Amino acid sequence: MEPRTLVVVFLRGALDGLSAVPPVFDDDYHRNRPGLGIDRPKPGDRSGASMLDDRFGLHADLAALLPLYRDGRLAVVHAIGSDDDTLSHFEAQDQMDHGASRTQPLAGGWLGRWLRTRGENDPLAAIAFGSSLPESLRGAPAACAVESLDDIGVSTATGDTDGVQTALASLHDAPGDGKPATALVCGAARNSLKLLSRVAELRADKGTGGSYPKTDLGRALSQVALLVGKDVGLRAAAIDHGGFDTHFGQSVALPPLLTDLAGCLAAFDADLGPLRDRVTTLCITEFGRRVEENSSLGTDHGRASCAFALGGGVKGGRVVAKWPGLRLEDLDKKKDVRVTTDYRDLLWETLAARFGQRDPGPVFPGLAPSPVGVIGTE
Amino acid sequence: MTRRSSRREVLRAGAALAALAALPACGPIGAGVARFVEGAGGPLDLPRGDAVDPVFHLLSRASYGPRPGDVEIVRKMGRDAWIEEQLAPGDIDDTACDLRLCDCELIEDMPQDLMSVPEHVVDRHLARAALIRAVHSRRRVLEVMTGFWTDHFSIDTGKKGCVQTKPMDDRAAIRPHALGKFRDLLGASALSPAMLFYLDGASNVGGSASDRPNENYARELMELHTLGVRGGYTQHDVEEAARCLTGWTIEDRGGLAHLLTGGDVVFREDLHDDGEKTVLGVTIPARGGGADVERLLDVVASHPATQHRIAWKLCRRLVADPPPDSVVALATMEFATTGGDIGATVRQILVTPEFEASAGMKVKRPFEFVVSALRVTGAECRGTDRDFDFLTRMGHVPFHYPTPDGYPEEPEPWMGTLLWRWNFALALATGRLGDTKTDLDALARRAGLDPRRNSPADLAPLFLGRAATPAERAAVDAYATRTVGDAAARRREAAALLLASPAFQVS
Repeated sequence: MEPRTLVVVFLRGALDGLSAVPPVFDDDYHRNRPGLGIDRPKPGDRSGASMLDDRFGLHADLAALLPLYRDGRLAVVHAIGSDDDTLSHFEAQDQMDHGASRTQPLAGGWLGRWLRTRGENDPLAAIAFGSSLPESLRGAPAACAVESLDDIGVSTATGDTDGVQTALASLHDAPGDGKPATALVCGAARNSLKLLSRVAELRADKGTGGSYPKTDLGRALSQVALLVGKDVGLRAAAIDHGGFDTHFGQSVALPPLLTDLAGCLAAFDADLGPLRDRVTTLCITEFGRRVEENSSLGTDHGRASCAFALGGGVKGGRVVAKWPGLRLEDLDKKKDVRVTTDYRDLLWETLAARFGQRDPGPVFPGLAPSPVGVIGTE
Repeated sequence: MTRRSSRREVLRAGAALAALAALPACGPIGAGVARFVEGAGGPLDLPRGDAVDPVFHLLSRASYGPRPGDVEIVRKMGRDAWIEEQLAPGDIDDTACDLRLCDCELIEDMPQDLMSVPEHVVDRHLARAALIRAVHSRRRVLEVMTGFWTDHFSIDTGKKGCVQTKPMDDRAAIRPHALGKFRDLLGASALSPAMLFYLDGASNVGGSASDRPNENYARELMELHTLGVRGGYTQHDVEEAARCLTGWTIEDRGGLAHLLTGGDVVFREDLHDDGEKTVLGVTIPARGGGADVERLLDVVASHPATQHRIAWKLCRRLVADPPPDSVVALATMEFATTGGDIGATVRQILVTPEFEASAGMKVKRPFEFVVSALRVTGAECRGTDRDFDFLTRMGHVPFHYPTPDGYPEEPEPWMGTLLWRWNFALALATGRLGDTKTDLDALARRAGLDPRRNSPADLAPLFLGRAATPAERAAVDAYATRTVGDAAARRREAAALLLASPAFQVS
C-alpha cells in the first residue's frame, strides 16, 4: 500500500454549520435566522449559495469547494459533534483533541495514541503547523510543531549546517562498538540524515505548488503537500485554524474565514494532483452554534456542526447526515442542533478504512463505533 | 518526624543562611551557591582508557550521568559506600537543588489551591521540577527511581483533575517510597487522588445492586502495577478487586468541584460493596469495609508474579533490555526475601557482574539523553521553554504519556528523535537554551585542557567515560578545523558532536 497521510484541520472557535452548509429549505431555519439565514439559491443568481443536495446548500464563500464536491472528492458530515454539553470552547476542544467523551474522559491526544499504536517512529511522522503542539498530538512518539519547513533541520550557531551533517554522517558510519544498541542508533541516524537532505531539497524548490491563499492555513497545507510529495514518512499533520467564534457581526466575520478555508482546501487538492488519493483531510470543529441568532447579528455557542472530509477514501459528493430537524421539539434543550453523529465515529472510520487500524480500543477506548459511511478503503 | 523537610521549610531556613543570602527569590543562582552545589570543584582526573570507565558506567545508570567531578568522588569513597549513601536519600543534603526549584513552587501546593491556577502553569511547574531535580539533585538514585516509578504508575496530567493532584502524588506517593517498600508505594498510589482521577477510581461505586463497579483501576492494578498481563489473574479477579475498591472516592464523588473542598480521598461506607470477595484464590471476608483495599493490595503485592515482574522491570531499567535471566533471578529473590524492599533490590542489581558488563547496552530515552547531556557538561538547568521545546519534539515531556502503561522503555519508539537530540546538543553547547547554560571552555580548563589548543575530542572522557575513538576524533577535528563562522562557536559545536554521537545515545 502506498504511504498515506491524515491531515486534521481543527476549526477552532466553533464553526456555524448552519451557515456553512445551511438547510436552506427549512422554514424553522429561516424563522430562527431572520438576519443571518442563508437564502435558497435563486435561478440565475450565481452570487448566493449553491445546492449540495435537495436539502443543504453551500455557503457562497465556500464555492471553491463545489468542484471537489461534484467530482466526488469532498463530503460533508452534518449534525456531527461530541457529547460535551458545557458549551465551553476549552472543554469541548479538549475532549475532541483527546478523542474522549463525557463518560470516557481520556488523557493524551487521539493522534498521539494512534501513532503510538502504529509504532510510527519516523522523525517526520507527525507534524503540527504552528508554535505549539496541539493536544491531539500529545503523547505522540516524535511529533514536532513547526512554523515552516525551515525548522526541520540541523540548527547551528556557526551556520555550518553542511559541516555538522558531514560530521554526523561519519560519526554514524563508524563501526562503533558493535553492540546492538549502537547499531540501532546508527541505522536510525542515517535514516534521519537522508530525510534531512530531502527536506533540504524541498526548501530549495519551494513555491512550486499551487495557488494557495497567502494565509497561515495556505502555508501549512502547501508544506504538507511538499512533504507528501517527497515521501518523508509524514503520517499525520495537525493544523489549527481559528477565528470561528462569531458572536457578533457574523455576516462580516465569517465570509473571509470560509473563503480562506475553501480556497486553501481547493489549492491543496490541486497541488497534490496525482497524490491526492494518498491524503485524507478532515476539517472538524468543537461544536456548532445556537440555531437562533443573537441580537448582535451573531450566533452563540451551540451543539452540532458540520465537518468536511476531502481526498483519499472519501465517498464524496454527499452530505451525510442523520438530520435531527430544527423544530423546537427537535432541538437539544430547545436551542441547539442535536448531535446525531459522534465525531469519534468519523475519526475512527478514517483510521479503520484508510490506515487499516483494526481495534478502536487503543485509540478510542470505550467507543462502540457506528459507521458514518463517508470514508471507504478505496 | 521525618528527616525529609519540605522545600518550603528549607527555603525558610535558607533565608537565614549567610552563604545563600545573595540568592534573590527567583533570580539567577549565584556563584556562591554554584560552588556549594558542585561540592568537589577540584581538578578532574579523567578516565583514560578505551573502554567505558566502570564508575562512569555506574553513574550513567544509577544516576542520570556523572557531573564533572562525580567520578572522582565515587572513586574516592568507593562504589559500595556511594550506593549505600544513595539508598538513604533522606540523609543526603539537597538544599542546593531545592533552592533551584524556586520557579516551580506550585509543586508544594494542595490540589484545592491549584484550582485557580491555569492548568498549563501547574503542568510546567511539575515538569520543570522533575527536570531540574534530575539534573541537579544529589539524591541520584532516588531521582532515577522516581522516574522509574513515575512511568510504572504513569499518570497523564492531561486528564481532568490530574494536573492539580499529580504534584501531591509525586511528593506524597512516589518520592517517599521510591526506594522503600513496594507495598507502601502501591498503597500510597492506590489511594492517591491523582490515581483515583486518572483511572476513574473516584467513580467506582458498588453500594447498590444497580451499580456496576468501574474496573479501570482494578484492571491496571493487576495488568500494569503488579502481576503483569500474563501474571495469572482472570477477569473474575479484576471484578472482585473492583468490588474491594468500591467506596474509595474523592470527597463527594463526581466532579472537579470537590477538589475545592479539600481533594481528600475518603472512604464512603454507603458506596462500598461489603460482601465477601475472592482475589487470586484468597478470600477477603465480608464486612471488611475500608480495609478491603489493604487486603487486596497485600495479595497482589506479595504475589510471585508481581515479585518477578517488578524485579524484571528494575533489571531492564538498570542493566539491559532484555535483562539477563541470572540478574533477574537474583533480584527477584532479593525482592521476595526483603518483603519487597526496592532499595535492597536495586543494591543487589548494581553489584552484579552482569551490571558491570552492561555498558553500552541501553539506548538513552530522550529525557535521559537531555539530562545526561546537561549533567556531563556541568550545565545549570532552569527548565526553560527551550528545554521543553526539545522534550516536546522528542515526545518525552514528564507526565505526558497518553496511556497508563507509561513511556516505553524499549529503544525503538524513540528512534525518530535523533535530529532533535543533535539540535539539543548544539543548542546547549552554544548557549541557545535560554537560562539553561553550560560553559564548555571552563569545563575544558578544569579538566586541564586548553580549549583553544586541545582538540574538543579530548572532552570525550567527561562525556563518554572513555577516550575518543580515532573515528570520533577524526570527525570532531574535521569539523573543528573548518573555517565558516565564529571560532569559539565552532569549537563548542565540535564538542557538541560528541554529545550527538552514537556513543552518547547509549549508556
